[in-house]
Amino acid sequence: MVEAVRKPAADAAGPIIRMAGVTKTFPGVKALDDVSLDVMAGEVHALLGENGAGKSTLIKILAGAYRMDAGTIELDGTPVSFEAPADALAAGVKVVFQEIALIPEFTVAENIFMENHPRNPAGLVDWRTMRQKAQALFDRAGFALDVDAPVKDLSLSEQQLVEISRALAHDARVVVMDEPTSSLTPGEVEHLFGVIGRLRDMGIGIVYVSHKLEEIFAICDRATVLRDGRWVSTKPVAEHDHHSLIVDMVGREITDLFPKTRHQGGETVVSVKNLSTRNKLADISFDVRAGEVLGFFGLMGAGRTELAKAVVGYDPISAGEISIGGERLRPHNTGRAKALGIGLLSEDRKEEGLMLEADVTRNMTLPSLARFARAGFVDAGAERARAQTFVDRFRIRLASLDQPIRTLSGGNQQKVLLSRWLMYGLKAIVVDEPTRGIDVGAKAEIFAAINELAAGGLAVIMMTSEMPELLNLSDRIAVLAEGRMTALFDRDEATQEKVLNAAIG
Amino acid sequence: MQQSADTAAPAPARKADHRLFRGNLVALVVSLALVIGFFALATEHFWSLRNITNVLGQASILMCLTAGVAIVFISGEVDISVGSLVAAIAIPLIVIMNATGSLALGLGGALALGLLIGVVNGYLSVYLKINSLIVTLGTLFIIRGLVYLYTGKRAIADTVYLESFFQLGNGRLWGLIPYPALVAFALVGGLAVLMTQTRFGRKVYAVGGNAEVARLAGYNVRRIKFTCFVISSLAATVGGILLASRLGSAVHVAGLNYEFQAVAAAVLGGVSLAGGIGGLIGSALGVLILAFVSNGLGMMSAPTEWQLVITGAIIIAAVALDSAKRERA
Amino acid sequence: MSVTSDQSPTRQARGLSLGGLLRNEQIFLIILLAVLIVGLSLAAPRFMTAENATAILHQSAMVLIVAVGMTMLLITAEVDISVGASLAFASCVVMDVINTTSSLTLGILAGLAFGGGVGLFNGLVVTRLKVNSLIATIATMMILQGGVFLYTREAVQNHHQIEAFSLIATGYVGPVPVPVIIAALLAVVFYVMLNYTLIGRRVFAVGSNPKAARLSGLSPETIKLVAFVVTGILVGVAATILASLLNAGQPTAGRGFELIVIAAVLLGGTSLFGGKGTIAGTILGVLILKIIDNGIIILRWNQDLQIIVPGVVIILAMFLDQLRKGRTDG
Repeated sequence: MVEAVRKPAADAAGPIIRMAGVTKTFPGVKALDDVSLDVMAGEVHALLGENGAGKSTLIKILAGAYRMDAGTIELDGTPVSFEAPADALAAGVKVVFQEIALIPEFTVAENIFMENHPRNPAGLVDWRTMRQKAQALFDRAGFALDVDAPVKDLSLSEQQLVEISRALAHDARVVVMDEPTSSLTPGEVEHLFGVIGRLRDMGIGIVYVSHKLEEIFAICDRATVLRDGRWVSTKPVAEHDHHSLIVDMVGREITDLFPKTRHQGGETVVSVKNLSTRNKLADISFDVRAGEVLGFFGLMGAGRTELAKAVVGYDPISAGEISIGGERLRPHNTGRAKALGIGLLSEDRKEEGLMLEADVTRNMTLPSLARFARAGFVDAGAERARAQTFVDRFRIRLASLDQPIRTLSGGNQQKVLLSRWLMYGLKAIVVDEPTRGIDVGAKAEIFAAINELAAGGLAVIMMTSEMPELLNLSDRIAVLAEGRMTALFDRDEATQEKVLNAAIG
Repeated sequence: MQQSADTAAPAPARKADHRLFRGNLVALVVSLALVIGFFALATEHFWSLRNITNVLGQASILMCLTAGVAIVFISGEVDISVGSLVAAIAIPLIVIMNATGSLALGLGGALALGLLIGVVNGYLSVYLKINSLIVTLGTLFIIRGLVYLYTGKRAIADTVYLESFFQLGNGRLWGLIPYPALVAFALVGGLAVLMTQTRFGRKVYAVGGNAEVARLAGYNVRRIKFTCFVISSLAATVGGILLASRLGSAVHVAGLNYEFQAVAAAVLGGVSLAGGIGGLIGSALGVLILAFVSNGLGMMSAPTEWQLVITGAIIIAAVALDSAKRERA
Repeated sequence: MSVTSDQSPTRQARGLSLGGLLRNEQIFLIILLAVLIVGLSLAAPRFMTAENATAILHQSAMVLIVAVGMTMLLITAEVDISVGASLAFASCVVMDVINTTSSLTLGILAGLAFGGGVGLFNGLVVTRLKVNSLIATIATMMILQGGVFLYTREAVQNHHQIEAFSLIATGYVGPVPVPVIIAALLAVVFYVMLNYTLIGRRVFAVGSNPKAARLSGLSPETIKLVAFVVTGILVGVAATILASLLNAGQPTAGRGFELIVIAAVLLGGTSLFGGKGTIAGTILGVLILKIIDNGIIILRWNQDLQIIVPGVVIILAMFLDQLRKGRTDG
C-alpha cells in the first residue's frame, strides 16, 4: 500500500498536477477567474485566501466535484479532464474536505476502502482482508484508530485521519487538505503536521488550504494566494513574511478590518446561572450588560453553538436559569425568549436562518410580522416600507425587495438576518460565527454593525472561533472547553495564548 | 508531539454494520417471539406446525415486496408502485402460460414486465430527477388502470392447470414448508447477502447514507439508485408470481394496498425513510410480526378489520419509539 | 444609498395584481386547461353545455374542499394520506348521527368533529411523537379503513328524509350547485388566509424553514397541528356532502380519494417539501383532473382511464416543474 506510492517521476522538475486558466462562474458570481496552481511531488503547497477568495471552488474542481468553465488540468504534463470525482481519484488526487466525507454508519475500515472493497474469490466483500489492510495502513502511518469502530463514534480529528488513510489506500499522489486544523486542538495539530511530513517524505504532493499564517510558515514549502477569485501570487514561503502574505490575501493590512471600540457597560441584561444541557453544557454562568459585547471562544465541539441555542430557548436545558432584563426565561422556548427580547443570529444561514425561496421582505419581517397585522391581516405596504429602511441603513445590495433571498451574496443575506432582529427590537442578541462564509469587505460591515448594536445599548453575545474577531470586538472574553466555561477575561488581560490555553481546557 | 490522537483510547470494538445480524434485530426477534408466545397462550389453534407454516406461506408474498421496497428506501428513494405491479405481472404470466402451456415462458413474461416497470420507475426518478414518491404514486395509478383496461376488471383464469405452477404457490416441501415461504426466504436471504456482503450492496448503503459523500468517492450514484428500483420491481414480481399461483388466475384487484403494507413492514423492521439505515432481515421480521399478529387475531375470531387497525397502531408506535430513541441519543 | 433598490409601483402592487395571482407556472396550467376545453368542445359538442359545465364543477367541489386544506398542509411540509379513509368513515358518522338524533345540525357537527379529530390525531402523532407524516397517515389510513368496518358492516342508510340534508349535495342556488358554492367560499377564504393574513404567512414560514421559524419565535408544531386539524375538518365538510349525495354513509367510499387530492395539489404547483404553493394552482389542478375525467366519460372512452390519467398528469407536472427549476438554476 504505502510502499506502492509512486516516487516522484524521473523528471522531478515537472509538477504532478498543473491547473491553468481555471475559470468558474456561478449564477451571479464569478468564483474563479483565470486561476493557476501547480503541485510538485514531495512539496506542501499552501493555498491561501480569505473566505470567498475561491479556494473551495478551486479544490472542488480539482476533486472533480465541480466542472470548470474554462482552463486546463495537466497530470504529469498530459492534459486530463476531471468530469466526475471518480476521474480525480483515478488520477491520484484525493481531497480531504473540511466537511468530512465519510459514511457515519460504516466502520473505519469500510470507510477507508469505500471506493474499492477488497473481495474474496466468491466476489463477496472480504471483511478480514479489509480490516487487515486498514490496520497495516495505520501501523505504518502511526495512527491509533480502531478499524472496527463506526465512524460516527469518532472525534473529528480521528475522522480526519480516516480521510487521510483513504488517500493512502488509494496510492494518492496529490492530497488536498481543506482547512484541516479548523476543528483540531493544538496537540492534534502537531500530530497532523507529523503526518503531513511523512506524506511529503513519501513523495506525495500536498495542497494545504488554510488562512492561518502560523501554520503556513510551520509546514509549507510554497504558497499560492487567491483573492476575490483571482490568482495573486505563487512564491516559496521562505520569500514571504506575515506582512507580505496578508497584503497578498487581503490587499491591505488586516488591522484595518477591526474597528477598536470600547463599549460602556450598562445594566445587566442577560443573566445565565448554572446552565446545563443534557448532552453538552455543564454549569455555565455569566452576565452580559447593555452595550457590551461578550465574546465566547471555543474550539469545534466546545459547545459554542449549543450555548447559543440554549440561551435563546431553542434547545432544551436540563438545569440552571436564564433571565433577560430581570425576567426569567420560562417556559424555555423561543416565543418567550423573543418576548423577553433575546434572539439568535445563527451560524448556519441556510439551515437555520433563511427562507431561501422567499423574498427579502418576508425574510426580514419574520419575527415582527404581528406588528404589521391589523385584525389578522398583514399590511404589506407598511411591511415593505419598514424593510426598505433597513436596506438603506445597512446598504444591502439588491435589485428589489421582491428578490428571492437566495440570489443575494452571503454578506447581504447576513445583513438581512441582522435586520430581522433589529426590526423586531431586542434587548440582547446572540450572534454565532457572524462572519462565516462572508467575503472580506462585507466582514468589516458586519463588524461595524455589531459595534453599532452594542453602542445602541444592546447586549451582544458573540460566539466565534476566529481569534482576531474575538480579541478586537469583545469587551470581555469567555472561553468554553468541552461544554464548560474555563475562563473569563477582561479585554485588556486577554491574549491569544491565554485564550487558547483556556480553550484546550 | 503525537500524543493527543495516538494516545486516544481506541473506541471499544463494536459490532459493525455490515454483519448480517445487528443489535436492533434482537429487539425485532424478541417482539416476534412475544407475539407468537402471546397468541400461543391466548388461543387454542395458533400454536400448531400447520398454522405456523401457513402463516409463513401467507407472509411470503409481502416478504418479497418488502425486501424490494426496503432496498429502495435504503438507497434514499421510495417505491410504492409494487401493489399494482403485483396485479400487472400476473397478466403476462397467465396469458402466456395459457397460450403456450409453458411455465418458463410465463415466468419470463412476468419478469420482463417487472423489469420494464422497474426501468420506468428508475428512469423517471433517477435520470429525469422526478421525486420518486410522486413517480411511483403515479405508476401505482397508471399500472392499476392499465390492468383494469386490459382485463375489463375480470380475473383471467389459468386454463392450462400446470402442476408445476400450482405447486409453486400451494405446494409444500416434505408436506410441511410451503414453497412460497422457501422462495421468499431464498429471495430475502439472497438480497440480504447482496446488501451486506457485496460491493454493490455497500454502495447502496453509502448512497443512501450520504449521496454527496458517495459521489465524491467516485460512485455512480444514479446507476446505483436506478438498479435499486429494478431490483425492487423484480422482487415484487416474484411476490406477484407466488400470489398468482395461489389465486390460480390474474386478478385485477390483486395487491391492492400491498404497497402500504410493505412500507409499513419495512419501517417496522427498522428501515429509515431517510436512507442508509436498516436491513432486509429486519424488514422480513417486520413482515412476520405483522403476519403473526394478523393470524393470531383471526384465531381469536376478531373481525379481520382489527388487523388493519392494529397494524396501523403498531406502525405508529414503532416509529414513535424509534424517533424518541434517536432524540435521546 | 438605496440606489439599487427597486421601488417601481408595478412591483409594489404585485400582491394584488393579476400577474401575481397567476405566476408563470400557473400560465402553463391555464394553457393546459384551455387546450383541454377547446379540444373536448371540438370532439364532443355535448361538452360545452351549461349542464355539463355544472356537472364538472359539481364533481370538482368535494375534491377542492379537501384540496385547499391539503395545500396548506403541504405548504407546512407535511402530508395526509388518510383523507380518503377518513372521508368514508366520517360520511358514515354523519348519517348515523342524523339517524339517531334526527338533527341535521348535530349530524354535520359530528362529521366535522370526526374529521377534525382524525386531523388532531395525525397532527399529534406527527408533531409530538415525531413520526414522519407519510408513514403516520398511512397508518391512520389503515386504522380508519379497518375501523369503519368495525363500526358498520354495510352502508348506513338514511332513515330520516330530512329535505335540507339532500339539498346539501343536490340543491342549487340559482344555477349553481350548493357544493360548488361551499367549495368556492372555502377556496376564497383559504386564498385570502394564505396570502394576506398572519396565519398564512406563518404557514409559509414554517414550511420554508422550520428552524428559522422557531428561532423567530414561532412554534412550527402548533402551526402544523392546526394545518392537520383544519384539513381534517374540511374532510368532515366533504363527508357531509358525500353522505348527502349518496343519501347514505358508505364505508367503501373514498378509496383513492387521497391520491386524487394530492395529485391535484401537486399539479397545481405546490411543493412536496413545503414553503411553496397556491390556492389558485390547486383550483386549476382540480379542474384539470376533473375535466379530463369528464372528457373520458363524454367521449365514451373506457372509464378505467380515469385512474391512469391522474397518474400520468402528476408525473408530467413534476417533470415540467423539474425542467423549469433546472432552467432557473442553470
